[in-house]
Amino acid sequence: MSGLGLHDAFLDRARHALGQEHLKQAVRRTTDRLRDGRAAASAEAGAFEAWRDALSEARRRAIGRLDVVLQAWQARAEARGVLVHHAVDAREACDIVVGIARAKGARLAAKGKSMLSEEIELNQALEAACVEALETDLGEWIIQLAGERPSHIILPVVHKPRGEIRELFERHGGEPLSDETRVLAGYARDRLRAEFLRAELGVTGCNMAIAETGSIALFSNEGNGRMVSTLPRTHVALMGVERIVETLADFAHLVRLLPRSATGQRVTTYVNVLSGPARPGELDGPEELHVVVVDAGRTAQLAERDYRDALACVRCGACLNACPVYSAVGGHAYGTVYPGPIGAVIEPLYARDDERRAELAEASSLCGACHEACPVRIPLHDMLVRLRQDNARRGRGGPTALALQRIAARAMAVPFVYDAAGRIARRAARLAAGGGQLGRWALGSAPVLRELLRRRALPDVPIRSFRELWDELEEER
Amino acid sequence: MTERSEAVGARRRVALMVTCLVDQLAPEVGVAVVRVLRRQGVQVDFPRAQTCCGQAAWNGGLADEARALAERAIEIFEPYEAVVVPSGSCAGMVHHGYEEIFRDDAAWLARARALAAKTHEFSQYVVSVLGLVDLGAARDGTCAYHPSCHATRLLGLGDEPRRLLEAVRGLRIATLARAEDCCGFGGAFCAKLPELSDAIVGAKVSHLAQSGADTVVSSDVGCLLNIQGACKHRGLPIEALHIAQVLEGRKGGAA
Amino acid sequence: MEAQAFLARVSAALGGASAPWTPPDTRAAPSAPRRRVELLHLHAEFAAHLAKVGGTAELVPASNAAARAMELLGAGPRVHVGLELLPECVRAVVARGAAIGPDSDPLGWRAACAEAEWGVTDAVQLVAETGSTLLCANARRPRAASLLPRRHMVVAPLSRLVADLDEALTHLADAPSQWLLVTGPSRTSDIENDLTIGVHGPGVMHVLVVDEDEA
Repeated sequence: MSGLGLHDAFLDRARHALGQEHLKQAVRRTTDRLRDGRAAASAEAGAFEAWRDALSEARRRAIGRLDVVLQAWQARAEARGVLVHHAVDAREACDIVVGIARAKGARLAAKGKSMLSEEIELNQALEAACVEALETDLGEWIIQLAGERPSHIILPVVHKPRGEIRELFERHGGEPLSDETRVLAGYARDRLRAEFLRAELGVTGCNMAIAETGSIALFSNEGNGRMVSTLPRTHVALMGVERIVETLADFAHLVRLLPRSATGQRVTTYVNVLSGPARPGELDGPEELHVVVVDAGRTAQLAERDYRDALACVRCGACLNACPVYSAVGGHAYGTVYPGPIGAVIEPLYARDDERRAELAEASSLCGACHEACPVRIPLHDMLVRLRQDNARRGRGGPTALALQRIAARAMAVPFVYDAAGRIARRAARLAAGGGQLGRWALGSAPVLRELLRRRALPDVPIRSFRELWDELEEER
Repeated sequence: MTERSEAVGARRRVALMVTCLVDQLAPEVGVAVVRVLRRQGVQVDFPRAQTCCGQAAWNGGLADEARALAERAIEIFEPYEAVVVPSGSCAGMVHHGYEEIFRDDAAWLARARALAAKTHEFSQYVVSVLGLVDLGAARDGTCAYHPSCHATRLLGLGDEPRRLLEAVRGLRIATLARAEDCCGFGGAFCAKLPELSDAIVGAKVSHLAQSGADTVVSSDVGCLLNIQGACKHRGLPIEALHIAQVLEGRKGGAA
Repeated sequence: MEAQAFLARVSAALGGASAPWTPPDTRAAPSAPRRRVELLHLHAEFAAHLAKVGGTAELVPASNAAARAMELLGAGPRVHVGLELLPECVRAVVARGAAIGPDSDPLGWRAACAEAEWGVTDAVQLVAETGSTLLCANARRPRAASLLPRRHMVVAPLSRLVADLDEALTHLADAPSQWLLVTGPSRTSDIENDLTIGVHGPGVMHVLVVDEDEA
């Protein structure tokens, strides 16, 4: 019988990940480094908790009146020459970008890192329209050369050892390289530089829009995001409909908290805020700036009070780094674009009928470390519980498993049933521990425990429960 | 010493919410809690109708069943002036989970909050309500303290357990790396995703091994059973004890 | 989808249209210029934070600014923007050496930036809290000078130091086509968490803070 009682796709992928020693160590090393960085940054910043409160409030305020905030942003952006598009789903979003590429006669689209682009599978759509889509973030480029998917929101290639990266680059360039980071990064710099200058189209995401000034903001460390938003004649930014704050003052809190939460940096190397294309007389910068506002399941979350707060997410990845499950298996085990606790919450919400995403609600020990790490205090652990309730209501989880859980929960409400069941279970466990056939049979009939008991020694199960001891304990007085 | 502290607890009366896990799998923890509290003069009642706070059902996605159990628990415990729970997780359920369960029912929410206001995790009760840190306990050896996730993150338990342990004569407290990390128990999680749970507890066990502790102490029996089982399975001789068991000890060495 | 229909879906999901949004009052309270001693403290904080991320900052007396800049810039090709917006003493940097300014044609400008060893820019503000330089694009300050060259030098007078991000951002309500915080050289840790400097952007960042009132 299955562990989750759902599809077990997650469990299978997690098992696969647990079998890969390099992956396990690389993911653990990365998450430890990032969360230690965050811890140091939060300890160093005296007002860290106050900033979290301020950013949480700012994000919820903007989302709570998203319609008028978007409207205000759009009016100001358009006044500065931004071309704003709206897409309800991934297909519409891809069509819009492909349409722009075609209108511009673009053959090469140079891309900055964008999770939304991964989500809508823009590269595939561009390639289908004979437009080469080139990832230019070092990690994303490696992922693209390897034909894989990112395994972390901000460090897409954490799972890959440098030897494999060298081999990919050697195959790409046809010349031998060394394993040194400097050499590998230098190779990427040299190769991609020419492409930045050649690309007709630059595509980026949007970390956050600012309604007050009609702007979009891009945070980066490498500078590729600046390249693709500066050099090509046309820049297209993909923006999740929820990625907006109202004011520059709100934005200041994001500048402080996004890098600190993500890596422990005080600020990213570049915070690039764009309000329109190049203006008359400006020598560089794109002639056209398009912003595609993408819904793709987000508005539906807005209507669900249990999950609306998840829209406050700023995609820092802190919940991934804090999560014991993510740290053990990495991002690919989730089988989704967004991994970790935030992925386990939003991926099922983006596609409510997808059974495989639904089971991710179980991929958590509900330890609450995600909530603790979240710069905008999203109660991810509570949301995972609510998603489990949604699953149970829809009968997901396998009828037998659900029925068993339900019977157990109902038995708990009747003291004598609870008492009797406890006695029987304890006796069976004692018999099993003693090697008795009856006990083995009894435990074998609870197969969910079988796998667990292969990995844990049985506890010393007591003969008598506390309630059976109580009368004697009363006499001690 | 003893007489002064008896005065502290005198005229206090608490109901013990023993929790289903302690009741069925670790009754000695309940016994230790009762003995420690009685030594301080606290009168302990055990409402026999109690079973489970509803957490397992709630976390399993069974909202109606969880609510029925929560209502039962409220009805059973609300007549008492205070409730002591030898579990940060179940106390966290009363404090945080019940807020979630009853968020749309003002009448029940008020009752849930009233119960939460007088429901204390064991070490919280001793330190914050009784105002005691030194209970006169003694134990030889070195312990590592594992703060359970629900105790710290759901209930907001602070340094109470550590202060209690520091006052135990003869007991050294080892530094446990990444102490705040989950042990991989997670209730049904460890049965549903056993390999994953094993990988997570594996990190905890290696940190424990590095700490040099001979005993791991926590305020949650779920974590302790999990860690103990994993240690035994790996042949690591580390004893897992609930903090009440440590505080019950008067002599050197493991009880 | 049409904008109106799209926004109507958002309103519906919110349970009805929200009350009109009003922009914040951005009229900054007039503040007295900072005293020199305060600015020197802010510079120390600025330089310390910049140093932590691999950038460097030095305070130079105005009388020596041009000479110091030339000493660092050497004889390699360079481009510059915005320096004519700086006080007299700093403009000397522009005057010396064969640098290319933003008066060329777009393609020539871009090629010059790509060839340049150094890109020299001014900064609208220097933010002490983070060690950041705030650059704004406009006709006199095209963007590529801080992006394509191998090294980036920022020249700014001490008086452009501000305490924190909040203060820096209050000056941006009129939204230039681009504003940019640059804090240190380009970096990545994508390969096995190993930090390396100078990926796509400049690998060196040096800030000359010009002290105009030195005794």
